[in-house]
Amino acid sequence: MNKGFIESFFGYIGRVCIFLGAIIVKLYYLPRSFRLILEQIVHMGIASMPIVIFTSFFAGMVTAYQAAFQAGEYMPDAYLGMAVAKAFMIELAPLLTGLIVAGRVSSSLAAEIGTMRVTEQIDALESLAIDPIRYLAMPRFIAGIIVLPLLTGLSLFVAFFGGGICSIFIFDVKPIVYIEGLRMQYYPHELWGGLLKAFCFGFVISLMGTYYGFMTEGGAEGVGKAATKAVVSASILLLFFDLFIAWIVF
Amino acid sequence: MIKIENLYKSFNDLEVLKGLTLNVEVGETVTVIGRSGCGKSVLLKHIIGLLTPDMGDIWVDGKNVKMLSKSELYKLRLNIGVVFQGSALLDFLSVWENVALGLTENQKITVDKAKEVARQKLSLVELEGVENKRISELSGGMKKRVAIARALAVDPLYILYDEPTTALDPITARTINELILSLKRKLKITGIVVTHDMESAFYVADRIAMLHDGKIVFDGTPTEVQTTDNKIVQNFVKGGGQY
Ligand SMILES: Nc1ncnc2c1ncn2[C@@H]1O[C@H](COP(=O)(O)OP(=O)(O)OP(=O)(O)O)[C@@H](O)[C@H]1O
Ligand SMILES: [Mg+2]
Repeated sequence: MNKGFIESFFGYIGRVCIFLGAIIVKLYYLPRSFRLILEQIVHMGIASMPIVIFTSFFAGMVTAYQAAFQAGEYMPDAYLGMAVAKAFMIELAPLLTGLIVAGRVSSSLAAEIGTMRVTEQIDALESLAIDPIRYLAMPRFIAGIIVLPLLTGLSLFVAFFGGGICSIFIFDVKPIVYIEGLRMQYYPHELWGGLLKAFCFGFVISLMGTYYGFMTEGGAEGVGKAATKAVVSASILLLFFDLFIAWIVF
Repeated sequence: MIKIENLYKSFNDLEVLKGLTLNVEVGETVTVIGRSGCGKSVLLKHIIGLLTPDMGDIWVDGKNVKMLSKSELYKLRLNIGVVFQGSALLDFLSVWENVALGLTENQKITVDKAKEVARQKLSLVELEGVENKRISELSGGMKKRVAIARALAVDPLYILYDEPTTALDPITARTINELILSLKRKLKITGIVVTHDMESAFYVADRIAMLHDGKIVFDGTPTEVQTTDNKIVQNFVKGGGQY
C-alpha cells in the first residue's frame, strides 16, 4: 500500500463523513420535510416492490427445496419451515432486499441528483435560498432508512409464502406443520437482528446514492459514472455491514 | 448596487477571471458580453456566492459576499433572482411549483396563494395555462420564460440573466428582450444580462461591458460601443471581423 492510496482512502472517508454530518445537521428540519420524505418513501418503496416480491418468492421456494434436499428422507416435516424462517430472518431477506435496492435505488438516487447537479438545478436551489442538502439529500436519506426495513419485512413474508408453496406442493408437508415449523426455535433477536441489518443497509444505500449524486461533475458521462460508483460502493459497504452486524448481534 | 473589485478565479490550472472590476448602479441594466468560455457564467455565480473568489471582493448592497455567514448569504439571495443559462428548472416539479418554489420553501404561504403568485408571474412572461404542465412538456423558449418567472417570484431587487435569448427564435428573443426592459422600467429591477447576442445587448442595456481574457476591457453605453476604436470590441460586435 502506498501513501497515495492511504491518503485518498482517508480523504474519501472524510468527505463521506462531512456529507453525512451535513445531512444530520439538517434533521432539525425533519418535521417540515414530512411531505418530501413521504413522497420519497412511496417512490422508492413502490418502485422496488415488484422485484423484491419476485426474488423473495423464488428464493423462498429454492430455500425450502434445498433444505429438503440437504436433509434427505429422514427429516421431520416441520424442519422445512424452520429452515426457511431462520435463513430469511437473519440473512437472506435483508441481504437480498439490500442488494436489489442498492442496484435500483442508489443508482437512481445518484443519477437523479447527479443530473440536477450537472444541469445546475442544485445551483438554482441555492439561488432561491433553499439548502439542497435539506431539500434533496435529507428526505431521501431518511426515506431510505425507513423503506429498507419495510421492504425486508415484505421480503420475509413473501419468502415464507414461497417456501410454503414449495413444501406443501412438492414435499407434501401439511400447511399447519409448515407454519408450526416457521415458529419453531424462534428467538426474537433473530428478527430484530435482521431488521437492524436492513436499517443499516438503508443507511448505506441512501448515503452512497445521495453522496455520489452531489459529487457528480462533468455532464452526462459524469452522471453515469456516479450511478455506477453508488451501486458498487453501496453493495460493498452493505456486505461489510452484514458481517459486522452478524458479529455484534449473533 | 453591485460592486465587483479585482476578482480572480481559476479552476485547477485554468485562470478564468484575472482582476475583473465592474460596478452596477441601482436601477440600471448592464450587459456583459464576451466570447463563449470567457467566464461570464462564472462571474454571475460569484455574485450570489455559489463560487468563492480566489482573490478580490464582491459587494452587494454594501455587504461583502464572501464574508457572509450561510444564513446571511441566503437572506441576500432572496433579493437576487437568477435566470440560469440552461433554465435549471426542477424536473420533478410542475411549472407552478417551480415558479413558487422560493415562496413555498422559505415562507409560510398557502398552496392557493402560492399558485396565484405563480400564475401572476407566469402571465408577466406571457405564459398562460401552463401552470400544471410538467417541465418536460415545455419547449426551450418556454423553459427560459418559466425560469424568468421563477426568478421574479420573490420580488427581487436584482436579477441576473445568463444568456436569456440564446437558442431562441428571433420573435421569442424579442419578447424576452422587451420583458427585461419592461421589468427594469416598471419594477425598477437592477439587472445584469450576460449574452453574446449583440442585438439583445444593444436593446436592453444602459451600459455594455466586454469581458475578455479575464478582465473587463471595455465599459460604455451602447452608442460608445458602436463608435469605439477598441479592436477587441469592434471585432466582437462585427462578428470576428474579416476572414
Ligand atoms: N466548476 C467548474 N470547474 C472547472 N472549470 C470550470 C467550472 N466552471 C467553469 N469552468 C471553466 O471556466 C471557463 C468559463 O466558463 P463559463 O461557463 O463562465 O463560460 P461562459 O463565458 O459562460 O461561456 P458560454 O457563453 O459558453 O456560456 C470555461 O473554460 C469552463 O470550462
Ligand atoms: Mg455561460
